[in-house]
Amino acid sequence: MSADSPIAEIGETPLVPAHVTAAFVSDEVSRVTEQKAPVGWWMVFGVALMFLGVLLVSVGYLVWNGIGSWGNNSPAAWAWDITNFVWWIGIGHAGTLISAVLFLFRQKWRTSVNRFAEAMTIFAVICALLYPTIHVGRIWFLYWALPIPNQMGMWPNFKSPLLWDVFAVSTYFTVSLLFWFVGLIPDFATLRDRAKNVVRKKVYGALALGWRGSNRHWRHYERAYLILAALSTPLVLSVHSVVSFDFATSVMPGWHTTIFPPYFVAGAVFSGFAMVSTLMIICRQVYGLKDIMTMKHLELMNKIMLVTGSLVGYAYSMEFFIAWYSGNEYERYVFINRATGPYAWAYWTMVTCNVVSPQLFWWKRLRTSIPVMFAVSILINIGMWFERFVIIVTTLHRDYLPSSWGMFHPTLVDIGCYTGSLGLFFTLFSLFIRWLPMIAMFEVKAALPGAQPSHHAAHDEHAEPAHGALAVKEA
Amino acid sequence: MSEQATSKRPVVYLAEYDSPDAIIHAAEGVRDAGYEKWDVHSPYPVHGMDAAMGLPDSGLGWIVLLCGLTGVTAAVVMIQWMNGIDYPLVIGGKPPDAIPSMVPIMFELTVLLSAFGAVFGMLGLNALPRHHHPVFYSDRFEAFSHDKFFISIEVEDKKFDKEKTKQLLESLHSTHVELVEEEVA
Amino acid sequence: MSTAGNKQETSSGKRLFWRSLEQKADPQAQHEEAKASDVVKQTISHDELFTLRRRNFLGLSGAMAALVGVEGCVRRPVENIMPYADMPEYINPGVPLHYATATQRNGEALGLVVTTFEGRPTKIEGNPDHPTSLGATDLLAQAGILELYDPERSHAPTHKGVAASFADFDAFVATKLAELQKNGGSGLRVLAQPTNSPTFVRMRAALLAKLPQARVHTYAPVSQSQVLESTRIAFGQPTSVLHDFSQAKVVVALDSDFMMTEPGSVRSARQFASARDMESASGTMNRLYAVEPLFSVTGSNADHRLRLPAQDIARYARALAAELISAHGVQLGAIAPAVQGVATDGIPEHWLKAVASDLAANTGRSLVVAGARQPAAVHALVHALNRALGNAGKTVTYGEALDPTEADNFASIAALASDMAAGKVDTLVILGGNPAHDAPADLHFGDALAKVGTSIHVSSHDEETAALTTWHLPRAHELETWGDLQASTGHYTVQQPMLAPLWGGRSDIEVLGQLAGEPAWRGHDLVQATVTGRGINGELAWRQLLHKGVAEQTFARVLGALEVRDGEVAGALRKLTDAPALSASNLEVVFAADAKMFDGRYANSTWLLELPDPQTRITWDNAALIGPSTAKELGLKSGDMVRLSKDGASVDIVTWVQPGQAPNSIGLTLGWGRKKAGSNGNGHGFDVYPLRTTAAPHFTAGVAVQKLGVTYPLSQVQEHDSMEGRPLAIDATLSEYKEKPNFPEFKSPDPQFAPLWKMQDYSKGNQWGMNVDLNTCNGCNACVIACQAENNVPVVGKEQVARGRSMHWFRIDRYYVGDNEDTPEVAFQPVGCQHCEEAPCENVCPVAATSHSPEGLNDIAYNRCIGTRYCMNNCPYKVRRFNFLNFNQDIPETLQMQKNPNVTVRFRGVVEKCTYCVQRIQKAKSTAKQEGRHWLRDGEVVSACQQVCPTQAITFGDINNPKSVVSTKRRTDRNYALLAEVGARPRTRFLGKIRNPNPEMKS
Repeated sequence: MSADSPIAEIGETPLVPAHVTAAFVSDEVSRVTEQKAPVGWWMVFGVALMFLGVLLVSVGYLVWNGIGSWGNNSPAAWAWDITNFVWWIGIGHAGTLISAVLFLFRQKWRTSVNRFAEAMTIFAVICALLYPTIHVGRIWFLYWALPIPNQMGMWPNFKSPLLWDVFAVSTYFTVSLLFWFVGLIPDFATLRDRAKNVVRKKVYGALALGWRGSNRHWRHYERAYLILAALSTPLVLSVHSVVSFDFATSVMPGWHTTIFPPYFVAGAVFSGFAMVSTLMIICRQVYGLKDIMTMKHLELMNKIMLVTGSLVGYAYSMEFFIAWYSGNEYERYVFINRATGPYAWAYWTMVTCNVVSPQLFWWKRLRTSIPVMFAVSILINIGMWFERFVIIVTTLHRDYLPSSWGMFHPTLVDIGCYTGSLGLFFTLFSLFIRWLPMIAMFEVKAALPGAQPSHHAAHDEHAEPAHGALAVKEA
Repeated sequence: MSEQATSKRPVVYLAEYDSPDAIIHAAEGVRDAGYEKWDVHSPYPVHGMDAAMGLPDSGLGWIVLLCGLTGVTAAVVMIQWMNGIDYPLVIGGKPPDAIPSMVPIMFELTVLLSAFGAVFGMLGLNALPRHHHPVFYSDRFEAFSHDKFFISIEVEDKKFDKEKTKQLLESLHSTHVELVEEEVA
Repeated sequence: MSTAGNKQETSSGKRLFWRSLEQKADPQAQHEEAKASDVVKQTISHDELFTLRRRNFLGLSGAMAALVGVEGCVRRPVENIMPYADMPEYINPGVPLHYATATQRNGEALGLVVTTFEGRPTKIEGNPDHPTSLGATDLLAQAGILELYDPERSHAPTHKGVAASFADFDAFVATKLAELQKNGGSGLRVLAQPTNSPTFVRMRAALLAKLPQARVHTYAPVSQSQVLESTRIAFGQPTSVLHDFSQAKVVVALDSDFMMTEPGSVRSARQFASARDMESASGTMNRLYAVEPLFSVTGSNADHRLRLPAQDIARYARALAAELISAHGVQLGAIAPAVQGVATDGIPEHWLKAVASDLAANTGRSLVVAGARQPAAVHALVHALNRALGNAGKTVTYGEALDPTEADNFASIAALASDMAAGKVDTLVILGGNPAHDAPADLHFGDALAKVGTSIHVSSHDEETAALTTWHLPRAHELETWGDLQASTGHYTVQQPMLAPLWGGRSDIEVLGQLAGEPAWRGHDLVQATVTGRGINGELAWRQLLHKGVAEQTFARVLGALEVRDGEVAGALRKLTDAPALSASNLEVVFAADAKMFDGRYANSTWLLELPDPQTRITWDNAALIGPSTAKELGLKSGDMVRLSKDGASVDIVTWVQPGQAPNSIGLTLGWGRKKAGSNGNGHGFDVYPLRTTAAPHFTAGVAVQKLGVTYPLSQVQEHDSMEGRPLAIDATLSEYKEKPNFPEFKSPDPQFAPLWKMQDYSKGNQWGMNVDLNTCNGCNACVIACQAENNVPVVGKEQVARGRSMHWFRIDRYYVGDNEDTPEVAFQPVGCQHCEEAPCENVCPVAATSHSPEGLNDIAYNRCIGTRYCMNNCPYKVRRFNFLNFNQDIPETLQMQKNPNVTVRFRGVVEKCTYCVQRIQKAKSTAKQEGRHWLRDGEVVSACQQVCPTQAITFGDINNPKSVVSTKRRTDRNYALLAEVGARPRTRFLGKIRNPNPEMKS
């Protein structure tokens, strides 16, 4: 009996019900892209498109009129722009985490969510990239941040954390995209081979790169997949660390802290999983994929949220402790101001959403209730946005010299640029759901009970350890 | 595969199987029979198949290592030259060629180039993309991406023999054996 | 454009053109120019003339120059842009010329030096040779340059609201004069502002001699009338009063803002600071007691401040005199009985005992001053006190007044108004001023104007009064016209034009001369006549006068210590009636000259509108200043609209709860809420003139406050008053200082740790640094405007200020110290870029747009900045400014002429900040290079803020030169770095503030 099969003694149950076979998986997943889109899809897509319009208008106005169209000011030179940037980047992290980290940890349950999560990563990073782009005063000179030879003979300043960001985030985006596409190749082949009409055959055929399931290919393919996973794992940790450097390396009280990198990564994973489960819950309702994205998957994700949520909570309290312990009056004031100042409402919203709400997941009944987990996942998304808002604005608006203290008030354009990015995200996501296999079929198939040769222990010691999701030593 | 077959020549034998166990046995059979230009097609990577086919370990890792080293070197050279040599500026009172601030970008470029190495190296080793392959002439072959397993033995294999090979494959309990032919002008 | 709308003409009726000063005097040159003008008229389309681009301007002045010089070339076709075919004298493109002149300020002359580029004035500085400026200026003088280019100044004369020409006016004057001469000028009235121009006085005399029946009235809303009146009482003749604060160890200021709004404030501030400057703990410093209703700049700098309603100041003065007599045997003769038995409620005992003993202990080294607001009797008493304390002749001297008529200020306009109402006035000439707006409300001057046959209004803008007069003439700006001024010290200055009037226009003396029937009534001719009349003869003397900006000899007889006529003073004091005590139901309003608008004449200046008030930090508005406890009693918060009413007159105005404001006394500043000031000034702030009457023009009790239940948004640049106990503007008392001379280091320790990397070597070459002495800085804000003028700092408007986007590179933070918000102490702290050696802002810029120069400057390359604003976040001092919008879009072309050609005008989306006036550093270096020097003299580079500072609180220079002033300042024990613990190693250092409280005062 193979080790990856559930251990009944400790109450483990199979990830998917017995009637789910390889064929079932292909049919179930592919039909989504083959049949007409359900009303639910059109509703989501329509609304998303509308907000995408809002984004285009807001950004257009912003670029035409100047950053002054936002509420940013001195002292709050950064506000919603960077808040949204960090928020989206954070959301992106869950995808990579699920597809890479869980892969290395041999968590076979990831198979039914990783495609989905990776797609989310890509779209979230696209939204994130929007903000550093449009938040600069002279967007038409943005390329000066890249090491391109130019008439000024000048180079970017590699000491600036913002420049580290440029490299980190673009690397992250590229690698995620590659990872995603590599994963899609065999499934494109499936769609190609199922395709009835020529266009589908041609398009998916082209994307499948002529994949023919050859084992000589699988050999390199799986090695590439393993290496990408191994690369993405430190990458995903580094990206949010670098993002946190934007703050940690500054001299601003409330930013200048060593706890930021781990704290940001935990927060990123936290918010990412929240977004994944929000989307999953919607999709499995709309497309009835309950057999593949099972309650067990959701429950496992909720457990991760409980863990990361508590990590974030720890970071919050540790910040306060250090502020008090440091004896630095500026540092102390910032945190007193966060909890009691004019932005206390934002701070306490953050704590309630991020620390309190996930504690519900201690109870199995709540952990496995769709409405509860949906509500909590939404709350976490809100809370994590506020976390970034609190970190950025409450630090800036009252720093060293009281003479230059001020307040930040968002404008319509601020709101447009934020809600608009949600529009962009869901537009891309709806298109993904509609035209691409939202579940990694070949990985699920490989993870099904009996998908692997059972009696084979004898002569395959030198077998590939890292087969997709089910790289498991035979017992 | 085209219908009006003028004159045809065989290209590959396709043997179809239903279960991973069956295919892995068959693969061992073909391997032991000493064939070389043959392959196994499965909807997902089947465990132990490399051993069953007697394939060596993938060399992709070396390519990636090379790319990774290129990445880190590129980063160091770029930063040192740009900020330290070509246009040194006093930034925040720190030395223009300060090392610590280089680290994040060194890491990022390493990862980026390694990733390129992994993906394009894999495609290279697999000679992909290749949209035309004899196995596609078979109408049954489509099922490989669904839930069926195939063994293909190419006519180029020096042990290939229209009869012997067919017998071998049938002896290996394949559910269906097909000789795929292509037209010759 | 001078060439364009210029309807200015010579006495001989020829059109004038842009000219060098010398040519102006030379009729031949005028002749040539007349031709030149014709050519230009032909070759340049009318539109082009009125659409002035800077290039056109330069080009045209080039064309002028060429045509002026070369007779033969006149008929050659002229291009719009021409090189200097024949270089005008001195003009060297790109190299500024400096001309000495002076400006009139509140009855005092302020000597100036104006920087001009190719005949284009760009910056005003003080004239070091002039006794009232000593090289510094006040903020109004700094803003003068913007006023010159204000595109909304009147462009042409109007007759009954219809555009007319000066020719029409001259024709009118000719006929008018003819008929006036028949009846000796009866029915002709002239309303002028108090003046200290000898030529003006001369012309006035000439007019009256020619038309004996005519009368000249004098009025200005803010004047020295009560001072002059008091000298008339005390000495029997109106005299000017000249203080010497540098000699005073103890100063008692009775409602006197001598550092800001009183005449000669620049000089006073300098002298006061000089007696306060502490090189070391062993030094001595003066002590200032301030008794005042409003929290003035002077009060902010007082060692002890007593907040007392304006009406009680007289009571305090008398009680103090009584105390001096009884406790210290000071001889006040017949005055003694008049000051006995004054009620002292509201006056703490030590404010009499301690202050009196302090004064008595410093006879001959003390000084009592009273503010223009206080009645003549109080001033008379002050004269007597100074006399009795032996200060007269030492810390205060008297000189003959140039224009005694100022004494009758309010009486004079009241008489005029009643005559006008009675229809006795046939012709009224208003020279400057805006009486229809700022005359006492009970005179209804505007209505009375309707009854005047012909009224002629000469003023810079088409303002409230202009709308009601028959004629309106553009009044030439002080930088556009000839004139002269005499300082109260008797120093004489000739005002010379920097350029021909941009839109034409005449000066007061020209109009007056015209009326007086002077044949040569051009300003130049009149002034030269005065100069010769004053015994300055010959071309050389004339040129020297122009060059130096102040005459060798002085003209006002110095009267020294005058005998005080006790009887009259006592009489005047007896007339003082003690008003009933104030309460929430019987409130007092106090009218004060505004620090920026003064009496309203500067209301259209965007620089001044956006400059934060030194005390309230409010921009673009004024407010009714109410003390915290009074506000609580009245249930008012800052921002509440209230209606102040007395005797039917009422004013709706926003409340501002002002710490330190006297109880039951409401402070109102004049000059706001203009209706026809121009598009910038209109509708900003609230007009308080309607409450002002001839009976009580300075302060009045019995005002009722009604809360209107609506609020009004105010834009503040600084919303937080407390230092939160942080060591920012560090201060100590004199005794604490003597105990621990380096007290600031203890409060703001500089972390000394081994560097983590190889530090930059700043030991070579010039290393620039700045020192700001918090002890002498009095928070006047002149530096803010000076920086704005020098560095082309844009104005953003009220709404953007409210959003926190003010662009000032240099700001003066104002903190309140102390727990009792009714009696706080003030700490001013000027903050610009600190030019940190390890600047946090540099590290974070992704494109290396900001980096460090070898001379230790924190540079910004504007054209490299992409505007991530990361540097703003990472600046601990929050001195970096961002162009959130295109604040330089659509600047009127004349205003573009003001821009400093050596400073980039920044585009939207880039960050900017103080550069230590790097353009001035570079200029000095190139000069040194031309002179073959490899080093700069100390003081060769002067930053704009340093140059303007009346108290010399700012020093700038090379910290590598151990002998430089800035280095010596850095070595003093009070020296400290702001936020030293951040470890940015700022180049700007501060010197801790020292307060000098009297131990006997238990405040």
